[in-house]
Amino acid sequence: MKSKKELKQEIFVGIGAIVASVIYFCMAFSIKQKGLMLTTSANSLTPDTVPKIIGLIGIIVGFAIMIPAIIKYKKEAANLPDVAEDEVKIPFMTKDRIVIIASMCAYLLLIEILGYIIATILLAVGLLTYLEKGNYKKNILFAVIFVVACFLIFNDVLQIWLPLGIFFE
Amino acid sequence: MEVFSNLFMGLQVALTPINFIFALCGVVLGQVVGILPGLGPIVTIAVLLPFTYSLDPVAAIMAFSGIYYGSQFGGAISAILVNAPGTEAAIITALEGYPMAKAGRAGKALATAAVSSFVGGIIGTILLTVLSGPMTDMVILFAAPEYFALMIFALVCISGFSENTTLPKCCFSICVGAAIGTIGIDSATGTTRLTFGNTSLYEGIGFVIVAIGMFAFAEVLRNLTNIHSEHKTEAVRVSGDVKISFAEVKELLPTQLRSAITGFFIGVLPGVGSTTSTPLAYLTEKKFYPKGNWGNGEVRGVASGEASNNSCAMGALVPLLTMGIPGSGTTAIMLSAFMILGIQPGPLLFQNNPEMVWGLIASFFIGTCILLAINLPLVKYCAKIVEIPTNFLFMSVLLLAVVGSFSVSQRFFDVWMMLLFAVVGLLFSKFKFPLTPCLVSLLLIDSIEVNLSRSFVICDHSFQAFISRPIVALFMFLAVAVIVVPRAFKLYKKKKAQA
Repeated sequence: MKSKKELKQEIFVGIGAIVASVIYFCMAFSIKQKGLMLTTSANSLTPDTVPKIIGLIGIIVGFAIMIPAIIKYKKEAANLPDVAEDEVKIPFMTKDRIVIIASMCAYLLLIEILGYIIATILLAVGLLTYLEKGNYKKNILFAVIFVVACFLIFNDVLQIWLPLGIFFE
Repeated sequence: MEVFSNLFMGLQVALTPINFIFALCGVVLGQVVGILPGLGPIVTIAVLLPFTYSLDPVAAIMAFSGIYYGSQFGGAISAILVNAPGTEAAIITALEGYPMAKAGRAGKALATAAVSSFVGGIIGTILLTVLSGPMTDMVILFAAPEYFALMIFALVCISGFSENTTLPKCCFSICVGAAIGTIGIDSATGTTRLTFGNTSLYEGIGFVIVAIGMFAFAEVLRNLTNIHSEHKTEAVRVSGDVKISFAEVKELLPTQLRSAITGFFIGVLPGVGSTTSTPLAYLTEKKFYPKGNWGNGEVRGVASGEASNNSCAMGALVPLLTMGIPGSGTTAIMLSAFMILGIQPGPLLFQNNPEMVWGLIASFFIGTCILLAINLPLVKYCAKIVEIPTNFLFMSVLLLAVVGSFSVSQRFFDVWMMLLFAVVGLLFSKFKFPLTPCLVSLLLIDSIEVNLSRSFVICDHSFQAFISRPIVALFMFLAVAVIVVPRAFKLYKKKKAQA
């Protein structure tokens, strides 16, 4: 790690890992065995054993992420820049990602009403137009061909019934 | 001789029209996705998994395998012509191939890549054919404790050898995958675990949902920043014929053989893939030919990279086929494909279903020959694929991801879960957690739990009895060595440099 920012992020990641593991570990205690269970070769462990082990390892690993970062921060923070010059920024939520995820949520809410074909064509045309403005004809053509082909393959060949929506049912 | 008779039987299976057509479609599709930067075999197999539910298992597995090794061939084309490796394995090819293309030797670079990929693929398949027999003979003797130790060893290898991240982050990624795998009804006791009363979670969270979300959908979201800039990629024109003389092939053969053998054995190790084998093969060749034009278009660089990555892909199939242990993200998805199609890879596969497994191995020989035939005369046309607009490709992946995750159980709950795991995948990238250990542990956790449970019974609940079993002790020793030795060596080198 080359900057204070990266070290702080590492400490934050470690804390996040510990919190998530503690929650999971506590949840493992809520697993209740059903009825009387015979110990056979198939079930000599109780159903909460492995989740508890995973939670415990997660907590230890969380500390293993956090503690070295804290030690390094205390030792070297004074000599480190706030942000490294060659730091590669890995964004989490950009505008494009938010638009796609929000569109997907809206699409999933509407698909059972509008049906697969209409909802998916709207989604595809909308997102393609957002990603490359002006290419309307190509975008519509691509969306229609792709969606109809998908629908036919899944419905008629693979026997996976995609929703038709209120207009076609 | 048994190998030859098995292989002959396999050829008969692989050459049936339906299997041949699927293998052909697989290698062609693999070649295409290999050429396209941003789309790799993992994304392709993940989104295509749902298409195979009603297909013949042998044909479907041949197609998936074709996508896997076909992509290794295709990755070289975009690496040489655009300097954008279609797969991670082609980075070394870009390093030497792109300067060759810029200097007007694109045809020679492409021909070298094709021939070297062919040699690597064939050597890898020969080694796979020869080694799979003894491996299965050994693994078939394993009882639950040995299987448990083997799976732990595989997970440790994946953590220990992961690049661009730290060991604790790999371990946490494994914990996340295992935690996801524990959701649902426990197969041994019938107890519901961590479902919060939600009946949709009783069956657990399907591997396909997690794979499509974290790899395919998240990959599209990760690449969105490049869409505006990359969709008009212009390739270097292929000038001259794509051919290589016999004398040149003969000259490159030692390089190809060395790189292929190194690549294969590196590929066998879980967690170590072509990102390690290709630089190693490249550096070895640099030592063999120090006077080469390295870094500025050295043809041996292209040959070593391609022979190594194609052979490495075959090596990775050894633990998958003989032990049912995936060593990488792609082989993890292939293992889930096997399971979905009702096939359990492992030593029993060779005993119970020899037609299928030898048919698959025979299809590797046929597929590799087809790829050479495609790559030499048609490479100029293949190069046009890099010019396909990226937004159409990514939209296709998005739409297939939706319909693919819906088709797992025909409910939209799975699509919501897929979307959730896409966000988790982004979080993993943001905080530099590797995805592969998560996916592999998700796939293995069920077997780990069952084998741990059986080990307790076999060893009479005694840890001493467990660890005193020779193979268990060996795997545990190797697991510790995988973690300790590279770090101790690094520390020693650091101290030596300081001194």
